[in-house]
Amino acid sequence: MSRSDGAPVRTATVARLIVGLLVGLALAFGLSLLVHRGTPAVAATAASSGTPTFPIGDLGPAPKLSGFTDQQGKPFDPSSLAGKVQVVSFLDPRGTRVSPVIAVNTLMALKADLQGTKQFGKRVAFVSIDVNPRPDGPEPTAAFMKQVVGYGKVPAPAGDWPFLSAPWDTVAQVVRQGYGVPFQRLDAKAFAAYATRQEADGTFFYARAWNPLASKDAPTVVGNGEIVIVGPKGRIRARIPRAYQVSNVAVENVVSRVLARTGG
Amino acid sequence: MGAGTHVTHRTCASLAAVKAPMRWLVTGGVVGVLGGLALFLWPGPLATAAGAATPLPKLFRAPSYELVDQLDRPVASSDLKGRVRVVVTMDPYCTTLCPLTASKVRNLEALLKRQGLSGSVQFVAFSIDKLAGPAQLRDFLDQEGLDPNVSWLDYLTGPADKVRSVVRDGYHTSYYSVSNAEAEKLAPSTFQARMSNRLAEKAKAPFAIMHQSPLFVVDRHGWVRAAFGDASTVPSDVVVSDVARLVRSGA
Repeated sequence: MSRSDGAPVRTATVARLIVGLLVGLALAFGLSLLVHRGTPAVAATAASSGTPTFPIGDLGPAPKLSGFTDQQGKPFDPSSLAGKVQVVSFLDPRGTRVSPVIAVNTLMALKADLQGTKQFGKRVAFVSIDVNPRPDGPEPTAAFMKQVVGYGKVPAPAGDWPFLSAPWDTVAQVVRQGYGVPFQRLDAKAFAAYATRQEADGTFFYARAWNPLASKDAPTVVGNGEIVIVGPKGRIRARIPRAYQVSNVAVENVVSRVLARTGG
Repeated sequence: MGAGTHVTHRTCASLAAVKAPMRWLVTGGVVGVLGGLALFLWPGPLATAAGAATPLPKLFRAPSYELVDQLDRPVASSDLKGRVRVVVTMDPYCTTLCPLTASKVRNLEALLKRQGLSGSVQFVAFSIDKLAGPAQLRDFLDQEGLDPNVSWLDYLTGPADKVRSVVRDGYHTSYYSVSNAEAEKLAPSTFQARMSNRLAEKAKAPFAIMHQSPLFVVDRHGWVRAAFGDASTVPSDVVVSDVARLVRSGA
């Protein structure tokens, strides 16, 4: 083989080697991305500052809130929410664990921030849904708002912060299937088993909130303490699980980003 | 046999000749994959850029102290040298944030235990109520489901000026007393749900303490490496991750 014949062969070999290297690097990069995506990453959701960030996107349509009444006993008109970013929470008015904490520590603090920027009631509305409806008698939603949330005063007009109730079947359908928020009613024995599992996982909420409306006879409602953010066109934009341990600042961050993205 | 051998050799030579170009491609690919994986998984600058942790900053020196714990035993900060610490404040008569902090402490301990780290970490809680002695601290722990006899938790008290020097000056955590009437007036603007505390109802303290409820992670050399404004809203996995990094790095 002459020198002039060898040069193209060597060039082709080097070219193949380089192509192989590039393909290999691309494969490795793709694999490393998958590895990092698959990690239950603290870094992806929370910096070491402790303030978590929550992704926003288009997570499907929010359910229509028909068949509900507000805390004043009036039929709720879902069109009153049109054009506003909605902060939707799922509360038990007789609850003594996460419901009062979400309602006061997270939502009331958030409401004050939004009032400061003149957005509460105008661009942003709160909606709470009673997830532990009584089989008979009126719901204590108004009493919860006044006594537990408002420290003796009504914290907001029902139009700006409706606390909605409906029969159990409607609530289960709207909350579980419509918003995709898991929750269940447990009797004392089932709750004890649930608590044992959570204690082992390091996720149980041990503290008890003061709630004069609490009833020993009522079933205990458990869920993931989620807040759902709905955009002005009725699309679910973000989910904030375990909102009882999320600061109002983190929730406000989500609301602000949804407002900026959707122009609500 | 000889012919057969010859044929076999020729066949091998032909295959080698046919596959030679692909062999270089495959060799390049394998080297690329291995090199790429080494670059992306090696805990160096590239891995850091991809989301791996950077060292926690040294924020400030944790204050030293000599106080007593819930069992009335003298405890000094020097006793904890060589151990990573999670530091909180808890007022046993608090009806807002402290029961949430106690709940967080229980969950953090459970999570650290699951990771095999509980033996390397000491929880330190400072009582900021001058009326509460070791007996009241034990009652509060008991009420919140925390065994006062556990070795992993020091719930500390002492003379008010000594505690103030540690918590306010050392950990830069504000707290002050107000009358109960004033506390009632301020309550709605604090945005803190009222929590059950039988101990507080029973004690009928003549004043309330307005306070922050931070959480600090301190390394084994006494440097504060992470500070969170509210123990109840810091994600548990963030604290556990910070503690794990300090324990495993030997910091």
